[in-house]
Amino acid sequence: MVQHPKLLLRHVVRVCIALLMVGVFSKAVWAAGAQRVIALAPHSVELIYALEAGDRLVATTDYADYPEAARSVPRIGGYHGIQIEKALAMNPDLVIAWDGGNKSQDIDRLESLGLRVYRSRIVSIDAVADELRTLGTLLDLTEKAEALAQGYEAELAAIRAANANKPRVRFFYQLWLDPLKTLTSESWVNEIPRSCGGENIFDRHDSSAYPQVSIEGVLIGKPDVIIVPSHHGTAKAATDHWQRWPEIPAVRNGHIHGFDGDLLHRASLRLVQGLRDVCAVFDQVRGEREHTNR
Amino acid sequence: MPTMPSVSRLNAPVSMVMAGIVVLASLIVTMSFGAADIGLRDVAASLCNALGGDCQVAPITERIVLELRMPRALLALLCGAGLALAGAVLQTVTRNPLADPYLFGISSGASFGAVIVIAAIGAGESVVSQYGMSFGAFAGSALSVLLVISLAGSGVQIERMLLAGVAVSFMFSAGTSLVLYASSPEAAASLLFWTLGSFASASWNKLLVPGAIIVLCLLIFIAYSRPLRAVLAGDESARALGVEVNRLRVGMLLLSSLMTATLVANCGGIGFVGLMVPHIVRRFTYRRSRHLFLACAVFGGIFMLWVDVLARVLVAHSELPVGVITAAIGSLFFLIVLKRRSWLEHA
Repeated sequence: MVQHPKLLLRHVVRVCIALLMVGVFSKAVWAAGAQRVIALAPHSVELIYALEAGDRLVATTDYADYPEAARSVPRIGGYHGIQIEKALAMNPDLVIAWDGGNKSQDIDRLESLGLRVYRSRIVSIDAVADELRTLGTLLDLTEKAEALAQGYEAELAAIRAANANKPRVRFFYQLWLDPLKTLTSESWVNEIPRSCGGENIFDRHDSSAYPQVSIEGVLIGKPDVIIVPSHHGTAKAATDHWQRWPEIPAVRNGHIHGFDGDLLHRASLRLVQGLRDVCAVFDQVRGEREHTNR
Repeated sequence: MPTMPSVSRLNAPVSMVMAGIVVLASLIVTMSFGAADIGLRDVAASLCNALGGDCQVAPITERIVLELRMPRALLALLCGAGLALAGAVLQTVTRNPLADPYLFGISSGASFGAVIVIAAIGAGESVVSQYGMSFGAFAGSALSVLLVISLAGSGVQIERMLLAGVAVSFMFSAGTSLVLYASSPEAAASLLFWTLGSFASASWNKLLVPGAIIVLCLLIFIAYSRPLRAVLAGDESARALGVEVNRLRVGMLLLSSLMTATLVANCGGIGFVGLMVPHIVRRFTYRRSRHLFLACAVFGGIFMLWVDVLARVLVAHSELPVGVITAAIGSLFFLIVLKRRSWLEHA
């Protein structure tokens, strides 16, 4: 069917050049990483700022409040859902969605509208390092990401090593007061006190991650520490509630402690600080125990 | 529909003693269920000590039984009795077997009041907020009852009241949804749990007000049982007998609403009990029995005791809200009743 071979050859060459240019251009875009990013999870926002790429953020959700600069990033949604129209209007080249934190219909919708979506899913405290590395690849900041990830892993390892052989401290993680809710070893947050040498009194694999429990259950568990994360109640309220039960070692010895919830529940680099805070309390308990045993 | 042989023809004192024994036995047996491994023997020993005896039991066990399980069991008993009683009275006074204590938007009003408190103070965060929620719930219920009565007009006709109740119910539900939308996820979860009902936060202090109100209302209902039975036969014949029907109706509505509002404020929105228990009890007693109200209270109390046990044991290491179980049982019950009716009609 070739009628004018020279013409055809010219067409082919043009197409090849065009494809080559598209390829080079895309590679250039790819090499530069995503430039307009929508981050739908507070932890992703923190990690992006840690990578010093905060200026690439065009939109985020309600609870992204750290660092301070993140508060001025436009919000396009929160717990109740994402404003899809606004997301599209921002013209992002990357959307970081939160698997488990955003509504899955919203994430699916963004994908079906042709946006490039990365689903962030946190399964352990170690996963923060992997999350950093992935973000580094997406934003073309691999070296910085690798450095941060290695630093984080080293700190985690150091804390774990330091606490590996210390005597166990029994704890109750009070997620909510009324109804009384806790988290079990099914939740990744449990790894934080565990890494400090703690033992969850509701350490079970047969129940859900966040079961509702009874006062009786806490009484028979006899925790040495009651952990009260801040945005789920205050330590004072918990102390008032539990003071009827001095049978509980944590109550008797005054070890109902409040912690900044963001440092324990957000999968960012600040988890290390949360770990240090919890470990400090556990060490205090161990110190007192030694003192009374002497 | 033929009634079953009437139990009320039994000697009344005998029935009452039997009822009392069953209630006591249920209380003691249900107190042996819970997260801690405390059996009947420990429960009996703790009770023995409480009554001044000297029985062998670990101090912590005794504390759990007397300060956690006993108030909880008593609250369940009171709640079941009160809801069943309110249901029985309302069904009598409105001559409608589908009347329910929540008919007048009480449950929606209570949820609305509770959610306002949650949004303002913060849910489950302190003892103040727990009492605050009860107060808010009660205020919400009271508001909805007043609205219904004022909407129903001076004639206090049943149909208008029922419609007003539905309207007020919708209005408060909408309000609740709106406030919830603007609150945090924790507040939403807390309210959902509260709506489904639970006795987990029972304490001796919390028993005083509901206990007093229910006993008082029970005595009043029993005292008025003759006029109420007259109303069952029809408004006109009741008036002919000298009963002031409208005043009686409004009075009974207010009293049962008071009871229901108190219970909802303390235990959350537990449904179906007020609807179902009078139906069951009527099968075993003559419809106009003067012991109907007492029988409903007793049966409702025992029923709720065992439902609370199910709430504690159905899911391992966790507790289900009581309202979920009563809803499941209630819907099953009515399905069976409807099925039986259609069989009988086709038979």
